[in-house]
Amino acid sequence: METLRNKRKFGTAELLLTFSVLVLVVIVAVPVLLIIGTAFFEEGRLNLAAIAKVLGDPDTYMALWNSVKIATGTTIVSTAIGVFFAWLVARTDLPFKRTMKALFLVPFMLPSFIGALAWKILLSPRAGYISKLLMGMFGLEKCPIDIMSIGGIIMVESMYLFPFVFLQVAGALERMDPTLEESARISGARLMTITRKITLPLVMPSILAGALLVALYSLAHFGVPAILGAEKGIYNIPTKIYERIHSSGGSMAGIKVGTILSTILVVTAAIILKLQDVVLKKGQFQIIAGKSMRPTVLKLRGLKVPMLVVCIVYLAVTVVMPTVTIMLVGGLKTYGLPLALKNLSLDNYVQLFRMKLTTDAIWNSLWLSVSAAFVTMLAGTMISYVIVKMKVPGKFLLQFLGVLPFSLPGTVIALGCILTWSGRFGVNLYNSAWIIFVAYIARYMAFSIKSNSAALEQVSDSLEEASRACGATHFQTLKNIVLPLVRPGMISAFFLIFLPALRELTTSVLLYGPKSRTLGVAIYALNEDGETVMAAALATIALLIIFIGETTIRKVLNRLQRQE
Amino acid sequence: MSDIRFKSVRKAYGDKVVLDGLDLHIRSGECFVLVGPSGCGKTVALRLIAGFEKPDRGEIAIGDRIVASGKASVAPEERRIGVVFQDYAVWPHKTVAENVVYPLQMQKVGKDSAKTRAAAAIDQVNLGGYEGRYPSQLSGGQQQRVALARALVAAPEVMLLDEPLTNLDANLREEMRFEIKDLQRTSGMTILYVTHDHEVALAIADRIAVMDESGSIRQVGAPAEVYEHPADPFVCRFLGVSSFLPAVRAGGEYLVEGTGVSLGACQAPGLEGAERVSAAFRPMDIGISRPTGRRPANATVERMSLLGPIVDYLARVGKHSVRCQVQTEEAVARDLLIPEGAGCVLDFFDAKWFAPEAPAGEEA
Repeated sequence: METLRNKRKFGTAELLLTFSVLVLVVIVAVPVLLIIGTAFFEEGRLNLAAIAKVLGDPDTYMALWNSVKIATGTTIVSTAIGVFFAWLVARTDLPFKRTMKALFLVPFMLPSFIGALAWKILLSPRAGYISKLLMGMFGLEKCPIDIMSIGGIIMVESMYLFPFVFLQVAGALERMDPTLEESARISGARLMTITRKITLPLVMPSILAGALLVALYSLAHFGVPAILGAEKGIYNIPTKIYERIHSSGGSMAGIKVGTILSTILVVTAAIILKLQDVVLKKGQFQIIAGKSMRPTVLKLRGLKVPMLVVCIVYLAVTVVMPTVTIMLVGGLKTYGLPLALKNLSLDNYVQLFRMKLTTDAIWNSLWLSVSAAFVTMLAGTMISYVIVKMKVPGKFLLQFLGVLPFSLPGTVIALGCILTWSGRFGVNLYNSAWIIFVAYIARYMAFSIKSNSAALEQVSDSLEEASRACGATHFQTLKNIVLPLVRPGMISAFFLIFLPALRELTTSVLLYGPKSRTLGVAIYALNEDGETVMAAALATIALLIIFIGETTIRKVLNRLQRQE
Repeated sequence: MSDIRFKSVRKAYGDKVVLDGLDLHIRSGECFVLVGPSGCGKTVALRLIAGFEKPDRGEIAIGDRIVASGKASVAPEERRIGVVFQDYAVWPHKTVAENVVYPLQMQKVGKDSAKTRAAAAIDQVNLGGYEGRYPSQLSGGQQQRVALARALVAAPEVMLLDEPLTNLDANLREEMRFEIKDLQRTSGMTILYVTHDHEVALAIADRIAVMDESGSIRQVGAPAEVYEHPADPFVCRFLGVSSFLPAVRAGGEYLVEGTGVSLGACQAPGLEGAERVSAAFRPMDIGISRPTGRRPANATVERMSLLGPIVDYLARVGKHSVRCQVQTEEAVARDLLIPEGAGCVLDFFDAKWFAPEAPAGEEA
């Protein structure tokens, strides 16, 4: 008998593991640790005095308070709107239900900072088109609605965030086992009682899950408060971090304040996610079945048409009007002119494509989102494989690092990247587009891991083992069996990253350099410089790109699904 | 020549020891069935041979090649084995032909030769005409045939089957088990078949090994031998319905505890002259008849059920219940459809004698 020696010390498995750990440590762990380190330590010593000072500063204290107010307000308003429309679409005989359901997801397509820009153009206290109209109509000195306030910020954020709640609740309402309500009805309960006692408690977990998602998003949101609040001195945490770093010219002092505020954001986000976890675990009622059933539908009778009108008006006001405004203003010769045909031309658009700043921005956003999505998709597939399929010690750490960025607001990721990639470790990407690239990978890694893990969990272990038994090496098995089977998960990961990255603002606004503006940054910067017309023109281009992107992708995904 | 040897193999997952010092020899060219209750470690043994798991200690050899020893282990792809899984594990993105030709591609067999051999394997499992189909277009039985063809195509000397028939319906299961047996006879390969189903095990095995929950092998032998002469009560119970009766010695024979019902004499080695023993009976080894004047009732019928070709009785002797079965035809002819609660006469044949057991509710 021949004796057996272990020849292979470093095979495919070890390579994958090492690579996964390396990626997550470099991209996620180091930046986060640096943020905490910078926030709490100074010259190697714990420095709580600095933290107390930052928190005691009325300036930062107010930002904190504003963040809480905006997030709370947005959550309440979005939840109310989302639940109402979800109920209309899922549980009443509203006409054109399917179309309406699709239409209620359109606000997702409109980047909220572009929405904010439109509302500023429409409703800013003195110059807004609607404001002027109202003042003229009623002979007022001041417009009754001031969009550039906390209330305005809440209103605009809610308009574009309510689909989070809508999606969750409509899904739950549609999947709910109708026999539960029917049995209550047979027992003699009236519709109002059923809704209050049966339906509402059953969909409560979905409502809360959607609401917490909105809270998480709003808390870390930069765009709307930056456009509507900063001018008036209303800051939330992300805009405050941006303001501090910018006003100090990117100095360490500014960054230090940023890290302390970031730590607060991270802790709050972690609490929200934990809450959501608890809510969802509790909400695992068996009553919401996986398959679609036909739920009992409330007859609206006389309210049928009025309700349809409410939906259409809502969408017209929140989606159509801002979009049209942006497009028209983008065609104006000078900002402030009435929106009349004689004042409109395509000159601005022509000029946009002549300006280095804007063409660079479009190009940067395109290649950054494509390449970051591609790299993140591949890295996410690899990491998911290690997490889902391999039996390695310390796996939970990988899992933790993989989903951690999900609870890291974009601002925090940007700060972490500044701390990590500004030469501290011999690599200086600051002011180049590559730092944005790295930040996008960190920011979207959780999306990729989620999508890929879901796909990998569908691939039974025996499929791989069968391949090994057939004489295929681990590497050949990955190539021939695993990759083809998780391809749908990879493709959806790519699009889940590509689309948000294309319109990204929160992270890139802290990281851009003279030559690395993104589309979002360029629109924001033009607006800051008072170039409202050019900002609107560029926003129109952005909307076009997003719209084309969304529709082609939906087509591609649909075709893929049909092939399955 | 490809026998398989386990030499004091130990495998644990965390604190749970699945196999502890397993010794096993599967002879070259035989169909060896490893049977045991679920979770007993039989699948782990199979996975150790395939190389999907590595033993903590001990040695595994296939033919004259040691494939696992201590921490060192040969990768699955270098073991030249065929494996058929419980969940078929046919690749959903490959057609039948692509599934079956894969092992040959991996072994760099020439394209033409690979094609011919794949076609032959597909014919062998009666799937000719389905080459271009995807697994989702096949029934469970057809998918399992694809898996079988894929495992066969490279003509491995060792074939491992892990509960390959569990997910099939009863008719298919019966059909497939004869096909597997046929394939083994014609190809002469060594088969390890792992299952919890004693009927399949008895039907196809050249030799059976019965494994208990703790992963130790209780008995190895030919099906008839293991069935007729189980080494211990566990094996006896596992291989089919059996009724256990505690018995006490009365002169040269043994009586059911607390009654005067005789179970005959005990010839089991090691138990000669024991005061108390335990006697096990297969349902067919207990005869049932109506009481007559000469032979009064010694038991009561507690339940009678007609199971198609056989009639099954649950009868009570003293404080103990036994199962007994009669062919339906015979039962009708002899007027044995005895109502529940009525007395009957039981005759006990071919007792399997064991040392007395702890007095629990002893009915399998």
